[in-house]
Amino acid sequence: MRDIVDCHLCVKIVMDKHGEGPSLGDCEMIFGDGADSRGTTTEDEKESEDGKEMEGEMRREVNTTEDASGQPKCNTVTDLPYSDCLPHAASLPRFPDERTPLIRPSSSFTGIYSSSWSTTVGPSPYTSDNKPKRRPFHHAVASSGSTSGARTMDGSTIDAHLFTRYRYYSRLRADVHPSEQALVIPDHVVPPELFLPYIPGHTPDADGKQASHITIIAIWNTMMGTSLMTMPWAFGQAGFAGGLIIMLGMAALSLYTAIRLLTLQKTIGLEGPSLELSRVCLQLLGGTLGRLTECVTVSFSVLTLVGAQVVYWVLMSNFLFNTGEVIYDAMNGEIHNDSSSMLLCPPNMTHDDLSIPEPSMFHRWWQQDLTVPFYLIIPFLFILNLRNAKIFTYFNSLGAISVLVMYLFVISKASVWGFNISVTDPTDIFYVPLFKSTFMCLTGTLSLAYFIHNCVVTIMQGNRHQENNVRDVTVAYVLVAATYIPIGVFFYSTFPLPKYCVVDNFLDNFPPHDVVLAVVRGFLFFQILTVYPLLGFFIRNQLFTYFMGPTYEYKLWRVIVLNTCLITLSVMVAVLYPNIGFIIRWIGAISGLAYIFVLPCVTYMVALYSKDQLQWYQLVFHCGIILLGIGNFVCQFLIK
Amino acid sequence: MMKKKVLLMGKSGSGKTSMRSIIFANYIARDTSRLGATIDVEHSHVRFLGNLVLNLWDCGGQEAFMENYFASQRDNIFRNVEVLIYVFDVESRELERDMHYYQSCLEAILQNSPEARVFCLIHKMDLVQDDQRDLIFREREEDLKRLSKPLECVCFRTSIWDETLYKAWSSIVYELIPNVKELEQNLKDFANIIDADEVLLFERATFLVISHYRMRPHRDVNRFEKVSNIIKQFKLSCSKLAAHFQSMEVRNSNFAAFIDIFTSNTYCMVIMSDASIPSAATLINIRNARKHFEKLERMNQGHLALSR
Repeated sequence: MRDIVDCHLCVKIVMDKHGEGPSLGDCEMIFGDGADSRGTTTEDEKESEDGKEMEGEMRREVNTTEDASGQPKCNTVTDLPYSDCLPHAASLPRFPDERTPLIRPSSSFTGIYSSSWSTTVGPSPYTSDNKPKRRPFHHAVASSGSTSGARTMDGSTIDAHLFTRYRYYSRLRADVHPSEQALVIPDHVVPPELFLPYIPGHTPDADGKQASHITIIAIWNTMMGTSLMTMPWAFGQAGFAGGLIIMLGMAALSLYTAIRLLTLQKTIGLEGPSLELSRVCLQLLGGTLGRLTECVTVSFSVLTLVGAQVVYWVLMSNFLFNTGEVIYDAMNGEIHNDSSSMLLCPPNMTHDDLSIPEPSMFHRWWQQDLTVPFYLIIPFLFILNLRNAKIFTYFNSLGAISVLVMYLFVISKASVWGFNISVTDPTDIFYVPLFKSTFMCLTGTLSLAYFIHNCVVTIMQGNRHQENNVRDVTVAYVLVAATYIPIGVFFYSTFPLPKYCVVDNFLDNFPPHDVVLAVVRGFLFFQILTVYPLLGFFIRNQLFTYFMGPTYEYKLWRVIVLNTCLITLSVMVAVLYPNIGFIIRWIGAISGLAYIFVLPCVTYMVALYSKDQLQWYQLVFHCGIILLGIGNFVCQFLIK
Repeated sequence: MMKKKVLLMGKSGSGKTSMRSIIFANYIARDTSRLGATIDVEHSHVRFLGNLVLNLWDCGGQEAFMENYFASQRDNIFRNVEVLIYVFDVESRELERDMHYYQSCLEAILQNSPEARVFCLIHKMDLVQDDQRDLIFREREEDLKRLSKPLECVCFRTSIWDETLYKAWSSIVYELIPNVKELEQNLKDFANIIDADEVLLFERATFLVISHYRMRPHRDVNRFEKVSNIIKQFKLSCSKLAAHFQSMEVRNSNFAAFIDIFTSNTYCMVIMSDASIPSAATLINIRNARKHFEKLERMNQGHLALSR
């Protein structure tokens, strides 16, 4: 018989017990043998294994089970952590007769062994004050929507399994360089809620997180949207000083509320993995109010996306039309000599001025408002059937390039034109009042321009250093503001034609054959072409998840019906009322009301109130913000 | 008693190393440079079912060299093989070559270990569209069964991103445990005697569930894989402290779970929902049952030894 030397430690994990407080002495550890806790070590202790099998009865007596590594180990508990075990033999009752019957449970037992072994050697080190910071994994189960009991494999359990698997595989990757791709979760397996935006030119590290500057670029790329082209017009609607004040003010306000949303979970004190906003609201407000909030957030989110889709369709028709014009002109050899300096004043244009006396066949069939929106349906029949969404993400990067090109273009044009603005002299043709009564156009537009609140939590989840989240969002907002404001201000200030000529899509101020802009329009066309189905996907996901729970089945006919409705809506708006300034400011005001003004403030105040930390000045401040949001919305009605 | 081998073979890039990492909770081992001056194609020895050793082989890369190596070393490689697990990548475009390799292995097995069990895994099924998976798998299975004659192969379709990998390996282990039916019957009796809600038997190295008995149905059919993954993660953590996992008791107001070493090849997990039963009673029961099951195992191994 071998002597018992060099026992391993023993761990016994006890959960859910009260205790005095943490102390190592209270928590004993039983580490037994482990056949393959380190798989790559060669288990070449065959001799001991063979020896063990022959020892038989004698080993039973002493109650040691030989482990594969051949080292005897103790299976007793002591209250000395990290020390050698005492010889085990004394502490366990022995059963020399191996035919001892199994003990059947009976009520008489409560007296004899009234406590489990765990309590004889010490309570759990965790108390209610001293809970470990890391919650055991808790996956939010689908609550109201689905009857989770009925189905064995509903979506939430699928995701929970996937999550367990994912965590396990991540542990296996611990020692591996982040760039190695083994056991990295592939895109087609990731559940749709975890869809992250694509960062141009960046392959994500295999741990799924990204550095701060990548996150900042992601936010910039996501926020930089079609509002860019509306900026000069919107700025003009608010007057010079009013415009500047509102632009800076809205940026700061949006940033503040975005930060509020980002830190909401921490404010509540809800630990664990970051939850979606609707889930957090559900937790915070609870019951019917929570469900109502969930309904509200979903509907506003869907509304924003549908509005964005409509705007995109209008823009796509615009770009496609202009691109078609360029190609047609190039094919017909029309040369425009003054292309670089010619500017259009669309509100003053009539068809007689611009088109050739007899509209050619081409121009009859290629009209921006009437026919191009319909032609656009054709590529979408093809695109919406594409399964592999990866290709879209590459085109998405064209958007960033276009923005840069437009920025440089505006700067160069502005420097050529020089300042053509007067704020003091009402008779000057370039007069711009300091404040204008139509300032709500700007506020509405900016509500959509600075809108990222429905996905800021999702994007920031990918940040490697979570403690820098607030700083990163701030930097991103500063960058975005630094992109919007100069384009708006400089373009409007230096525009050499009367200011009422500035259109709500400033690219329309340039003729179709301007080379640089033709290229920009081409890029933007492809970018929007690829974002459109993505928006459709989000809309579909949110709607179906809300109505049918996260476990909705993918039924093709439902998708087709939804897509048909969306496309019909887009085409009708593009044909009948392609006024994107109008659409943008309305969508901005509505969704901004919900996501930028009301929701962050209300949830923050409720969170503070539930912790009895709400001060009067915070109440006043946040109510003020809510009133601003409501005012923003109401004012949109006042514009004729 | 000689160690028997489990060969895990397959073309390069088919997923063997990932599979092995996951099942055996190894950190991902970089494939050592396969073919160089020293022809060492064995990557790892991992103990399995007590007396089996898993060898990981790679049939890829410098194929001509591999073929040569096959020719000169094949007796060495293919002797004493208990199990051959061959991994096919479902996305592979070179079906002919895959089959060629597979048949070379089978020939070698026939010559050197004709009693070996052959399992074929059609891997990376997550890359196939849902509605086509069954079709593709059945096609491949037919082909493989036909080509494997006179040996019999059992086919599974697997992917590391769903539960099929776990189920396939569980089935493989289930077929390799001697007298598993008797174990199950005894498990049932054991559970009834100690009034347990559920009793699971895990294989020791991989924590794959070999058999289980439950008193009432449970909603979560994938709980075995979850438990297995969680315990393997725990073992990974323990190994950082150079310590080994032996046993665990988890208790709350609804249940008490006991995970403990059972026989030389297995762990057991006992779930008791009656919280009034003290732990000591259950632990004593487990300990006494252990002797009984060990005896069962030894008896059967003795039988097998005699019959060979």
